[in-house]
Amino acid sequence: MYKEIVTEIIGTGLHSADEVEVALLTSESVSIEMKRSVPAYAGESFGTGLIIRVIDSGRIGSSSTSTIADWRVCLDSAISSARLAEPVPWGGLPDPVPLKGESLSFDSAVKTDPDIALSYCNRLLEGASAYPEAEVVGGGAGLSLGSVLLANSKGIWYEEDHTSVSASLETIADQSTGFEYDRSYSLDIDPFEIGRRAAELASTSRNGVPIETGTYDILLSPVAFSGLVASLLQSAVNGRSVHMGRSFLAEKLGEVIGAEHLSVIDDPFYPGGLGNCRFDAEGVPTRKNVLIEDGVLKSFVYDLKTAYRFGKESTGNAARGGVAGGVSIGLHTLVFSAETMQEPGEGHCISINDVIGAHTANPLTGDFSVEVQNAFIMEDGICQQPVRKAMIAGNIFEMLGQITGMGPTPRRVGSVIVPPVRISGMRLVG
Amino acid sequence: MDSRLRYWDLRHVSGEHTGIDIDNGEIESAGVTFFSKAIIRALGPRGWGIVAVSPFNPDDKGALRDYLLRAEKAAVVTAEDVVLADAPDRKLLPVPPVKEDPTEIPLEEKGTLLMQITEAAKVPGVSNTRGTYTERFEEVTFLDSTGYEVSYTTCRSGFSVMAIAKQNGAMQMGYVRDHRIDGLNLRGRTDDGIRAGTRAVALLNARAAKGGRMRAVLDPELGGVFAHEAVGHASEGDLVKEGASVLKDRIGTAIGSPIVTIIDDPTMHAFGFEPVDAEGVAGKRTAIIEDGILKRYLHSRETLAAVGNGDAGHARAMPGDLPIVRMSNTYIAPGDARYDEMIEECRDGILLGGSRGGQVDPGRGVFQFNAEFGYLIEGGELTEMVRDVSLTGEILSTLHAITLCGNDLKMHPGYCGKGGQSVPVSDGSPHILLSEAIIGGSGDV
Repeated sequence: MYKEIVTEIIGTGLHSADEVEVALLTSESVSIEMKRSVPAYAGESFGTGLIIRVIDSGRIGSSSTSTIADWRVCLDSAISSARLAEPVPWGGLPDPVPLKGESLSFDSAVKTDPDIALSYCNRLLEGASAYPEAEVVGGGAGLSLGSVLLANSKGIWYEEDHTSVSASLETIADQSTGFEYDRSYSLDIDPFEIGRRAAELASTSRNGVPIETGTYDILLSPVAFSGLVASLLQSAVNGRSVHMGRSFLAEKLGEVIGAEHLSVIDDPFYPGGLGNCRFDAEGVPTRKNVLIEDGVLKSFVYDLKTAYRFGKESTGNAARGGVAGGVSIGLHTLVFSAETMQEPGEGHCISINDVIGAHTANPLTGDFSVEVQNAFIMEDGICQQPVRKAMIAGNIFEMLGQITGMGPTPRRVGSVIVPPVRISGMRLVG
Repeated sequence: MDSRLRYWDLRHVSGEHTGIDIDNGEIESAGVTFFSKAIIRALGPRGWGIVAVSPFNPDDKGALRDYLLRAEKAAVVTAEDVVLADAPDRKLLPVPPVKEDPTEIPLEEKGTLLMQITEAAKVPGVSNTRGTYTERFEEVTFLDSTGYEVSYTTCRSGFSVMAIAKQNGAMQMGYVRDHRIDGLNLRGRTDDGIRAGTRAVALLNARAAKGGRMRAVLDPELGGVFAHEAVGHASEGDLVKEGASVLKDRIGTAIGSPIVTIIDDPTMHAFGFEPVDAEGVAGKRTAIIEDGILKRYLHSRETLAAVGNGDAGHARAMPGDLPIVRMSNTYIAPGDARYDEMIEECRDGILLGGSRGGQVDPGRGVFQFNAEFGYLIEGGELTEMVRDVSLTGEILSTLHAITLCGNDLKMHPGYCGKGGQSVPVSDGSPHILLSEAIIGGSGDV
């Protein structure tokens, strides 16, 4: 039924616009949420979404609706939206190409089965019981299925399914808190380990000691590093920000911007990557884009509109994040690597598991000062004493140049892949 | 509808979200999203069964019956003994009169008005400007198993304008935003554009602040963030109930200096206003701290029954999402100090202004927030401008450090995130003086 509607939308839209693109999204999920250690909410969700984009004489309009039956209202709205937009030198929506392989972030074993969610909740609690002094504050588990159908007036008809499995636990021991989570497209998360780690963090962070204000080597966990760096880097390599003069990296292509062994790749095919997909939000086949190689800034990322406007080519990085379901520029799976240190906590350093206020960093310049969370004085990789309170201050771009190395095992944090990161010379205010 | 359910409710929100994005003087995009979302909560023998649907068709009575059956089935695995407190205030609060209805103004005209504000930001030294307009028209219907039903509409709208200034390879940004619930706010606002542009240029010559412990004056915007992050979240009844707040078991104790009174008021006609909360309960002004003493928590019906000490009417939700305990309009009550007096009294320290957001861990009792700009205070006078300065503190000690409250309370609109949901709020404060604050910055001197 949906297929007929999509064909009808494209046909009708072509009466008023040069090109039409339709995305039809479906999703369903189940989840169980615990309050303290008791399942308190058990729920399910069902949703659909329709996004229509039209392009007429270089003017791009969009509209979206949750009610597919109301597609005519949505189409009219997209056409009005196009009339208002400033025209760009548009070179056309992409033509269809054969897509290789199957959906990349999909596991057919994932079902929206509440029993799986419940068993995950139980495993979270079993894991946490290793540290009885840590009380469970809350947590839960969820499973979801989704699909995307992308069609356009050039004949593209792409379908992709995706799945998501997640679990998290929050704990407290005295006035010390712990949180851990994981999300995957597959049933390979380990809720026992998530629960154990959440309780361990709260338990071992108790009785923190003050530290002297000064300059330290730090070991940022994958969670702390991605919280500070990922969204800032994403906006700095965004082609639109770059060409509009809103990126710190705008003039730095080909320059050294990080440690000489640092590489950052947007890799939509990275095994297990949560942002993986074969085509982007406007049907351009995705590709691996090297952003930073050996410390040198190699490339920016583009959608079609920005690419046409500034004489570049789309890098397959169109995302659905714009006004009225329109397109913005985004990354898929951001993979960080650097010189491998067998023991990134070697010698003396401060290990930082998370930070409070990562989103308050200056989005333009990268200057930040945030509070550490679950930080420890570390000697040769062993946490010696928890740090009661400290602020870490610096500049995120400068920090990229101070990376000494990374641990041997990368971790998945949302759509970021990164091992623990050792950074020298960071200022901590005790 | 079904006798095996102890209680159920339905919250259906339909409407239109409109956005305009202006980038460097050109309309990049402008358009509308239509939605119709509902959440059904059903209380089985123990806990909640939940069904969230999008789209929801209110005319399909069979669908509601089906969703309730699903919710009842889902609730079987729950084990928490949920009890709901009585909530007698089940009627709509008066909605603020709308001066100029944004939905009646054509998108083109709103685009033109936003363009004027954005263009005004192009003061000398500014190299890029950006403006966004957001409008959220929502029709809300709440009904529950007692036969109670209310409906209302709200339209929240507002803009943000950003300017970027560049000089010798350095760049800085200035940012002004305003959102309202009582009508279009785009007319006659070019001064806000100028303010964003001027701030960006001024920050080019500001030094990075040096961190450390010092006296600090917070402006009303940042003072509001302080009230929100340092006190508001920790007073939320769900966190208290789950043992995740340092304010648990502290009702009646002094947690701040006697001049500190902090209030959350969902009845105030500011950006966080709701005619009823997401459980159909009319909110009331809740004084969390009175004269330094912790008096009340913010509650939903469920957390009020479990914890006590406070008021229901503070449950809020995004369309199609579960109600959770949230702030609405949170502020530090004004005192009688004059601004000049506070700078003089501070003597040597720092004035912090504007907000880049903040975060709190209410269980650990530690908060952090970041200012947009600051000025050093030397010898009782403002001297040099500084940038990228933040403040952290511990909830249970910081409130004791408030030594002066100004007489110039002002509210600022914003959005607050919790549990994956973002809801409109406002925060406010007069200027306040802290006798000691932990200031973060990357500067050396």
